[in-house]
Amino acid sequence: MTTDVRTDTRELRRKIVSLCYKNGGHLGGSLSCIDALYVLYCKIMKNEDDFILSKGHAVPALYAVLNFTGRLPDSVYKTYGKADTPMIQHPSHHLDGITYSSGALGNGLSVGVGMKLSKNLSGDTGRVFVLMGDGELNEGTVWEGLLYAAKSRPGGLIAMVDNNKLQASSNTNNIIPSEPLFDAIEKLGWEVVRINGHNYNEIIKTLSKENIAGERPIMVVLDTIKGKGVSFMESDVSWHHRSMSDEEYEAAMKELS
Amino acid sequence: MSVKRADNVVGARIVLEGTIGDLLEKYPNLVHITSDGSDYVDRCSERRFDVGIAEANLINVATGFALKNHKVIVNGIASFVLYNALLQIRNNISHHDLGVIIIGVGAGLSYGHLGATHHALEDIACLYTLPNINIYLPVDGLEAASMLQRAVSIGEPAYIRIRTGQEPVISDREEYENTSDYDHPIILGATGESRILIICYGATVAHSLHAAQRLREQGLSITVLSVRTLSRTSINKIVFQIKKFKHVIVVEEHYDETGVGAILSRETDAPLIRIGVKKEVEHLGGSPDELLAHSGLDADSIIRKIMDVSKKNLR
Repeated sequence: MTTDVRTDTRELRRKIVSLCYKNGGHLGGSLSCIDALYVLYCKIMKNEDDFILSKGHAVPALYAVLNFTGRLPDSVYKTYGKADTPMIQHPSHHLDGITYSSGALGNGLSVGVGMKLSKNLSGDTGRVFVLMGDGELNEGTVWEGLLYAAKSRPGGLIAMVDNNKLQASSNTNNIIPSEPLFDAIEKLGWEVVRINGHNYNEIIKTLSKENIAGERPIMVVLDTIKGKGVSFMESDVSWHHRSMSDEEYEAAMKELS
Repeated sequence: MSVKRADNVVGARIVLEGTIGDLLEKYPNLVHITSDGSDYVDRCSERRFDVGIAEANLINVATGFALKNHKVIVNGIASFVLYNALLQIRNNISHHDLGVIIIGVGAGLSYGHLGATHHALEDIACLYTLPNINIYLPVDGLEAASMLQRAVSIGEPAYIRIRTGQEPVISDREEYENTSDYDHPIILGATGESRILIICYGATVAHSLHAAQRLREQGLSITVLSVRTLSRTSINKIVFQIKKFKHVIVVEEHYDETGVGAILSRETDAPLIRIGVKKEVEHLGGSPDELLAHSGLDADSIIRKIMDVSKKNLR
């Protein structure tokens, strides 16, 4: 880790591209959320906090930041894509540092609600952060979680949405438009905060404990660009889960150097 | 424990209400979560949660509690909790091996007139295929309560299959005494001279016992085996019993193609006669007893089946 966030996040993006180059993975959605994950793991979260990557397909970003911060040793990190490893293409609780195995979208939020209610009962003041995708908001289980969090008000629950405007097959506007959903979530009783998901200062300021108080659950909508950092991947739906050719890999690494 | 009993009949749900309250008082790290079931328990309100009519959310919230080291009991209508939330039960409770106990109310056809949406005829099939989940098949509400106590003390992923409504008490028979090892099936009735074994669980135990008693009056000796869990140990013990009999009939309130009879058929070469609910039978209105009779699971039907088997054997 350096003192320069741009240097750090450029390295994290190189790690993501390298992980996915030979062994596959969801590139676009990993590159869109890596700035938020960097801020969470390097600037915000304390030992008592929990994190759920509900958009589990962005696990290359999680692996990159866990390894970058020394939570995931190189010996394990290098097993991505190999046989008999918990380093699979979705988070596994068999890996140190990951509490909940995600992959089926729509479940992390209400698991997070349960975790925070449990922590509150135990007198544990640690917070619970849940990162979802914008396409994930299509899932009905998200709404069950939203409703129950609004009712049970487990203060210290922070849901984040990587609002990169693309899902697996198309623009969210062509499938289920996200914009009306954020208004609806606010009406349910959530505090909805909207920020630039690639602006470190905005993310840090928004997620700082002193800026998030009270019992209302908080949703931080991170406006992001899918594939952010590699020009030919940005806002191109095909990079949701496609493989790189050797030339594309070289070009991506050159841009991130 | 607040148990309402009349004429040796008890409602499993009522028994469990009292037991859950007792367990909440005993275990400070136990929580009880329901989906629109706030009337279920009236003690330890700070550790009772109602997530609303949202079964997937029920299992997810339970998962969050279990991941942070709480013991968890959830309850709901079996066919809604299991089938609305099968993904969450699989990915969370089963795969993470979490101490969440699911009490499924409305086993088999016990919701009667409420119809097919409420019947749970494939719950065992759904859960038996998943790793880690211990399936309890209580014979009545009293045994369900004891099984719940054990599951909570162990902190295991478990499913307790109970019927709704009042049921005859079976587990106060002497054969059940001192057998809190639920991997141990209970042998009821004649043993030594019997050549016919009925394997059953839940409501079909009472019907099988009734059938065995009437057949005994006609000189035919029948042994009844009450299945209580589907653990590996339990299945091994059941298979051991099967070997002792010439004819084995499995009677179950579950689809016959995928229930306990089907599971046992994969474990033994002995031919099993399986009486369960047929998939092709459409269930319209009816009381639970009428629906059991309609599916050939009542005492009269069991007697007819055994008489048929005996006659063929004599020829």
